[in-house]
Amino acid sequence: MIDKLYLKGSEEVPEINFNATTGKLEISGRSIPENANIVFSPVLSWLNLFFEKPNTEITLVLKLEYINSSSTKKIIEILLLLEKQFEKGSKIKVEWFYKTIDLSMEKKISELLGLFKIPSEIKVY
Amino acid sequence: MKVLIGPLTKNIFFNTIFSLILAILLGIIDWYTGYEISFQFFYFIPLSIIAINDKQKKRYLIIWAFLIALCWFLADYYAGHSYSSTQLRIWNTASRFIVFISFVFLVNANVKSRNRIKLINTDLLRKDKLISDSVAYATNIQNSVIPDYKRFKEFFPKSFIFSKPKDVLSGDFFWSYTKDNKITMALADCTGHGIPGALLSVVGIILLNKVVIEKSIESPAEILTELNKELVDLFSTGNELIDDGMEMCVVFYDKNTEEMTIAQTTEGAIIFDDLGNFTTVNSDIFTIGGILSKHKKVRFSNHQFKIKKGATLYLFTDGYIDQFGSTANIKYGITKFENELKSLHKLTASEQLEILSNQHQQWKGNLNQTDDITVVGINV
Repeated sequence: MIDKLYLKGSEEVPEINFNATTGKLEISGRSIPENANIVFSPVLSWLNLFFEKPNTEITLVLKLEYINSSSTKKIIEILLLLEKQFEKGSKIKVEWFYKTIDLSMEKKISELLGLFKIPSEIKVY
Repeated sequence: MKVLIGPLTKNIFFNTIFSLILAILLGIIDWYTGYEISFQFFYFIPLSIIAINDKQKKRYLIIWAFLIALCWFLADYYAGHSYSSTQLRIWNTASRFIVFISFVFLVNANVKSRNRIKLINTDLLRKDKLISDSVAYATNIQNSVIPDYKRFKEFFPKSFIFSKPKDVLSGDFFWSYTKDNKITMALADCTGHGIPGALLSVVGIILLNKVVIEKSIESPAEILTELNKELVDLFSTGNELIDDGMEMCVVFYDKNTEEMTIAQTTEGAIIFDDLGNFTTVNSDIFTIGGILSKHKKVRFSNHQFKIKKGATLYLFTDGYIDQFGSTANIKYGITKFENELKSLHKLTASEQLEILSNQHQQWKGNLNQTDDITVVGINV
């Protein structure tokens, strides 16, 4: 299994940086692709591979400036996967960053994270 | 030329006979006029007639090139053209044979590919017609399941619906149901557009009829909750895992009490008062169907408004604000849209419709439409 997953970001897709040794998965930037499946399916398959090992530990760091609805769906899919692993005993944490000016984003994030059992923090950047 | 040899190419028998006679005739003329005058060009005529038939076999093409070269050889020989050595005569004939063979193969390949393109085009046109015919008919079905706009118009005479599908069929739909002095309205945006969007929209309409009319549910939040339950149930019976769903805004309004209740899955409602102050209505995080609503317990909230005369309500799907355009190729955006509504909410319904349509067209320019568009404007 590869230790690192790195996907370069652009105007439309976020930068994805996953380090298996530190257990940090960072998704940052804008996510407004027409087909979010193409962007996020490597992340999901990577996570599934990652969780095959015992005693896994992951911190999901989200720094999303703008996110469209199909990407939101994919983030939810990731969160559902993390929650499943959390219930199985993995150490999971979510850190979701938002910009100070975007208060509606903060409300949306806390509302969404409130639905999951995973420990999470909402931070300003 | 095409008119002349056109009919000849149709029938392989006449085609062959004609070319043969022509070749012999050319040989005789060439022999008669002597070797000093170059006659080569005319030998290409029977060759063209042969090569232009796209059913011609390769070996016949070679035989024909050989025949014509032989014709030329005989004419040259009997015209008394003398060469310093016999090898030169053979060399000249061979070089002509190669020129002829290249010619017939090139012409034949060209004709074949042109005919194939023609065939593909005809096939494409036929398929295109088939698809557009069935899409047009599907539009009829979609339109016939949506409740009559007449009742809605009677309830709100000063209203308009701006609807512009990305393709012919739309994934957006507007639904309404009136009873006495009460109206329930729903504006929905189904995942995707075109055929998949339209299929989902028909499901949405049927479920709305069930929940609002049969079960007589009035509370918008409760309507959304029920719709989600119905849709998730419906999709979990199949084998395929479907995470598709719809965004929806449900409005309930009672004319007697002037109370309006709104619940929605995404920001898609703005209310203007008589003075031009506007309120955007909050939305919930859940959609109808979709991955989150399938795995978590949904919760929708009602928002209450007192609607006085002169107030205007706008319901919209994200197609209008998500349209890419202008020179910078950026999205139209909510702020521009709010300002646009602010400037036109006092105008008549038909004027508003025209301005919205023109403004969209102007912004879009030559770019493709991003998504299905629906904007409903209601002057209460």
